[in-house]
Amino acid sequence: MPYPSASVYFALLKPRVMSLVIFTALVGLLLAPGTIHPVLGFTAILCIALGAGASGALNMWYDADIDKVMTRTQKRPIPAGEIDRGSVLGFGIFLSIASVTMMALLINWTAAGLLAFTIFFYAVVYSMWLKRSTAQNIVIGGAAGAFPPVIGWAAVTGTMPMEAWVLFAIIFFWTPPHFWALSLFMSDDYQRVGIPMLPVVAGETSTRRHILAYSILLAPLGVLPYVMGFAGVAYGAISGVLGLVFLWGAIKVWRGTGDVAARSLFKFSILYLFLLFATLAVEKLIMGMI
Amino acid sequence: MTQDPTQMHKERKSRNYALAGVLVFFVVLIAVVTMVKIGGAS
Repeated sequence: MPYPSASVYFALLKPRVMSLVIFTALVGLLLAPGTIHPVLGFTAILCIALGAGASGALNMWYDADIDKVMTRTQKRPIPAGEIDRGSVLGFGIFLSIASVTMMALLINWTAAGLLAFTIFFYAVVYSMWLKRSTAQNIVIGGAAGAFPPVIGWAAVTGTMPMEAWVLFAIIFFWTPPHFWALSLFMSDDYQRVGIPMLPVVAGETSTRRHILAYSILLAPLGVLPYVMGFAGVAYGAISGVLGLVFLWGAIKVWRGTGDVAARSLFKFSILYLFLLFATLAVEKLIMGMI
Repeated sequence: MTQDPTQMHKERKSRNYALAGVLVFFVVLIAVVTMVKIGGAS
C-alpha cells in the first residue's frame, strides 16, 4: 500500500458533493433573518463542509466492497489501492468529531446538533442501512443532503423555522427524480453489486412513474419561498418557469422508453437546483444592498 | 503495490506540509473567532 498523499485525503471528502453542500448551506445562511459576523459565517460553512467531508469518507469506508465493482466508483481511493480502509474510518470519525465540536463551541449548539444528526443520518441510516436494504434508499437518504440550508440558517439564528424547512423540502423532493433519472441509465452498475435501486427492483416503468410523481410535488414546492414571502417576484417567476420545465422533462421520461429523456432530466435537475438557490441568494444580496 | 523510499519520502513531506498548513489555519481561525466573539460581547 503506497503512502497516501494529501490529495488522497482530499478525494475522500467527495469534493463535488461538498461543493453543493457548501452552496446550499450558504444560501440558508444568507436567507436567515439577522446578521452573522463574516468570520463566524465562514467558520459555520467550514464546519458544514468538514461534516460533509466526514460523511463522504465514512461512506467510502463502508462501501469499499461495492465501490471496487461499480465502474463509476472504481477510481475512488480505497478501490484504487491508494489508502487502507482503517485509515479512512479514522479520518472520517476524526472529521465528524472535529466539525461538530467546532460548530458547538464557535457557532451554536442547534447548528452543531443538526450537523451531528446529518452526519449520522448519511453515514449510518443511509450508507450502512437503507442503501442496501430498500428501493426507497434515495428518498430517505436524500434527507441528509437536504439538511445543509437548515444548518446554515440555524448557524445565524439558533432556530429552525418553517422557512428553513421549505428549503429542506425542495432538496428532499428534488433528490429522488435526480438520482432515479441517473439510475435509469446506470442501473447495470447498481444491479451488479446488488444495490436495490428502483429500476433494478421495481423496473423502469415504475421508476418513470415515481420520477413524474416527485416532479409534480417538486414544481409547486419550488415556488413556496415566494408564496411564503421570503423570496421576491424574480424568484417567483424563475422558480415557476423552472418547475414547469422540470415537469415537462419528467413527463418526457414517463412517456419515453430510452435513455435520452432521463439523461436530459438528470442534467437539467442539476441546473434547476443551482438556479433556484442562486436566485434566492442573489435576490437576498440585492435586497440587502437597497 | 510498493513504493520506492524516495517517492514515499516525497509523499510524506507533501502531506506534512499540508498538515502544517491546516494546523496554522486552525490556530489563526480560533484566534480570529475569539477576537470577534470578545469584540461582540464588549
